[in-house]
Amino acid sequence: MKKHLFLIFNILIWSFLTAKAQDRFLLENTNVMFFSDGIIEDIEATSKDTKGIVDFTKNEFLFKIPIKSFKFASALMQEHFNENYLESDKYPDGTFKGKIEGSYDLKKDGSYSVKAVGDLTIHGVTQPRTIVSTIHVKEGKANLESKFTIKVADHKIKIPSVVIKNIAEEVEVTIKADLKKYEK
Amino acid sequence: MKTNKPFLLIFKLLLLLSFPVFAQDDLEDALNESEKGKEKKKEYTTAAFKSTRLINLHNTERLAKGALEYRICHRFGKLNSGAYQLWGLDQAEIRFGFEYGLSDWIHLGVGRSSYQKTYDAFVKAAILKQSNFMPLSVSYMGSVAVNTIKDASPDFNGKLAYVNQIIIGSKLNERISLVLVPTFVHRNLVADANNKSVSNIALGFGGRLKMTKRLTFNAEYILRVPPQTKSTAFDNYKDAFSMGIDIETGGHVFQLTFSNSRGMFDKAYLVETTGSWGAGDIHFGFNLIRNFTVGGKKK
Repeated sequence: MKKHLFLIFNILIWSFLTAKAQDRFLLENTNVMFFSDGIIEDIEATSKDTKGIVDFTKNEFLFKIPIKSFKFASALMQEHFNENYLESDKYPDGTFKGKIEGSYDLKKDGSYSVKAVGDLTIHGVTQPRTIVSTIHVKEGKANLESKFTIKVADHKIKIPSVVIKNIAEEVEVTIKADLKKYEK
Repeated sequence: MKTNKPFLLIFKLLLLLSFPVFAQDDLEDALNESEKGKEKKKEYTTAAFKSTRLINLHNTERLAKGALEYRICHRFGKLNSGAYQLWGLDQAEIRFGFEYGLSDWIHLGVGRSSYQKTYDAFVKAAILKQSNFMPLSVSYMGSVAVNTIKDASPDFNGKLAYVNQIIIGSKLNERISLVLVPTFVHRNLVADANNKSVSNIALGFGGRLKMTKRLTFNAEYILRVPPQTKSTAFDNYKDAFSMGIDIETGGHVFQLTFSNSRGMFDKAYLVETTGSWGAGDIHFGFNLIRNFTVGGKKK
């Protein structure tokens, strides 16, 4: 029995270790852009510092965006974005964490529309979201793409009445990223 | 054999229980691990102050590259001048100026003041910028002022005054930022000193307290170092103490100020302050600042 137990234990440990080295991919060459179509001025910013990991075995994912990494054309706008709206010292990251729903095949070329169902946290406020995304597979390489809108009020980002005409209540977010196998 | 069964069961249960715990923070851990070994990104501290001046004194903020700023400043008469002068509001001094961020390190400005009909120009350059690796910002500020009052001086040289400053500042936290400004002022011709040139050393210091996202309280003091020999050019004047609030509304900043100085360019508030807080010689004033972005898109 002792031998038996040892064997079971070994198998469990082994399966656990291999589970750790599953089909995990890191995001690479990320580009997150948001755009707000204001009455007076359009606001646009881009971040290339999004980090993320996708586990295709468990169909789980986690994305993390340092809020301060968003670059604006206007330095003052960028300062106000961090200081007054997103309060990025207090809430440094935006995160999206959840599960992938839908079918795809990473070994076959094609574009697969999937749903990312999870919790989107911005400005310290978490909202359950279902975001439609596309996984493109071509010649063994995969990338993903997604476009969705965020209501500023959903994340308790306050816009004072003096500038309410300058800033739209909804912003459109576009995400693009390559997927690179995570070897560990 | 039988004795082993409960043990095995417990073992299995434990494993089963530990699995979901692992699964939860699994991705987070893996992501953090993948970031390990990568160099930490340098992040400059931003928004130590709402404007590039504390009140009169330059602080460590500079305009960003491509930012153009229009400033219009007023200083009124003494609050203790009574109802006849509407507590000073009848007598306004004005300075207006344009400033520009040549790069993220160099900030230029020019201005014209009604006080002594003076044109002034300055350059402020960052030497060190506060970041997650560096607790301080250090900048250099140099300015020249030209007094264009008729007969102020027999030659052009006598109309000039220079200021050199090292600005040391730190944003201690979200609310509090401090500056310390060792200053050297040189005036080519000073009436109080028998029309000779005078050099002074002063130490400016002050800070801001951020009260809400858009409102800060500021105060500054200019400590003039007494010269070795007695001089009316020093003794007839006072140290300037100013306090005020900054109100930020998007592209504008309004600075409302109270000061015993009416000067709005460097030399004037540093070494030519005549009012005394104790006697009620307090001047209300404001700086209105409008920021535009004229430079190209930032990559």
